Amino acid sequence: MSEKVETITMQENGKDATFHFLATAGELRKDGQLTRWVEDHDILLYDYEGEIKAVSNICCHFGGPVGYHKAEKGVFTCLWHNWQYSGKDGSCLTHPGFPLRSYELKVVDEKIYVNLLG
Amino acid sequence: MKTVTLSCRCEAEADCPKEVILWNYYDHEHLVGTHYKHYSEVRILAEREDWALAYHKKKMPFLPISTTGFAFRYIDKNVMKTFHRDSIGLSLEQDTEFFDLPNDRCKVVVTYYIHVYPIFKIFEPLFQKLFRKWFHEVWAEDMPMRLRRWKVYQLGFKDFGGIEYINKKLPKPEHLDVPKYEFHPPLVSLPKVKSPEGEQRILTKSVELGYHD
Repeated sequence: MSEKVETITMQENGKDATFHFLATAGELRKDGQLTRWVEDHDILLYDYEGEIKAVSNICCHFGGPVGYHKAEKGVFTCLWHNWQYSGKDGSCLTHPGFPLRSYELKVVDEKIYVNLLG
Repeated sequence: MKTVTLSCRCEAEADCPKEVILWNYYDHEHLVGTHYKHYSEVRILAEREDWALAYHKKKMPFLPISTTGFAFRYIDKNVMKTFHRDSIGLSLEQDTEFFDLPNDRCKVVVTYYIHVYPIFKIFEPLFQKLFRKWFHEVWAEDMPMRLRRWKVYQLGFKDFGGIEYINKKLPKPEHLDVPKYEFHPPLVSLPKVKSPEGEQRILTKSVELGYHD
């Protein structure tokens, strides 16, 4: 469904890990958050209090887009049914027990890469 | 007093099975989410497998006023019938028909009816113009939701569960065994929408960054 993207391989805990290009730091700075499909993962990338983070953009409820609205006070509100998630750790604030999966990131020369398996 | 019926027929095609559109039409809670600019409150008063009675508060289309109202909706095979009654006295009936098309596509035909005194028959062209506009605006607002729902379903999404290979940090399976999309009303809803307070919209305004699908 999604196009092949640039990847880099890095050592993680003594093992090789593949990171896919997600966005540039400049793209992220524009709104402080963005969403992008990479290899059939819909990823929400954002700046949380100066730290770059990424979680799944797929709401646990019915699959809505968590990052459709710009976050307010570090909280994301899914467009479809208003489920809210914390930017701190992806936990669901309105329906505890339904957290968003987080992604490991690497920033290399202003480029942000994501580990789809990490 | 004798009345006449004004009607307006609209249709559109979609790149997803009709069951996805049925799901969207029967989802009351999305009114205060997806349609947050129009609806501020919704409550399911009663619901069974093939019918539902809902209360809502919304901004009237094309008019600068808000109104409360009730909608009774039932499903009979491929037809969904809806009866709206608003506090300003407006009664509207809506027949929505769903047709399969090849290659997981479908066609939806919506016919709106409003019963008025005969003198208002001259306003039928205006009624048709307004309701065609309303149909296409709402269709455009809902369509990304339906296509995304269909997309994540094909990736193995399960309600209240998500997508297994994403959640478990596994490689995406080479073959995903996804069953045919089925629609089984009522949708699983959360207790709040059926409580006396109902479901309220959270955002009144927003910086929308969009879907990017």
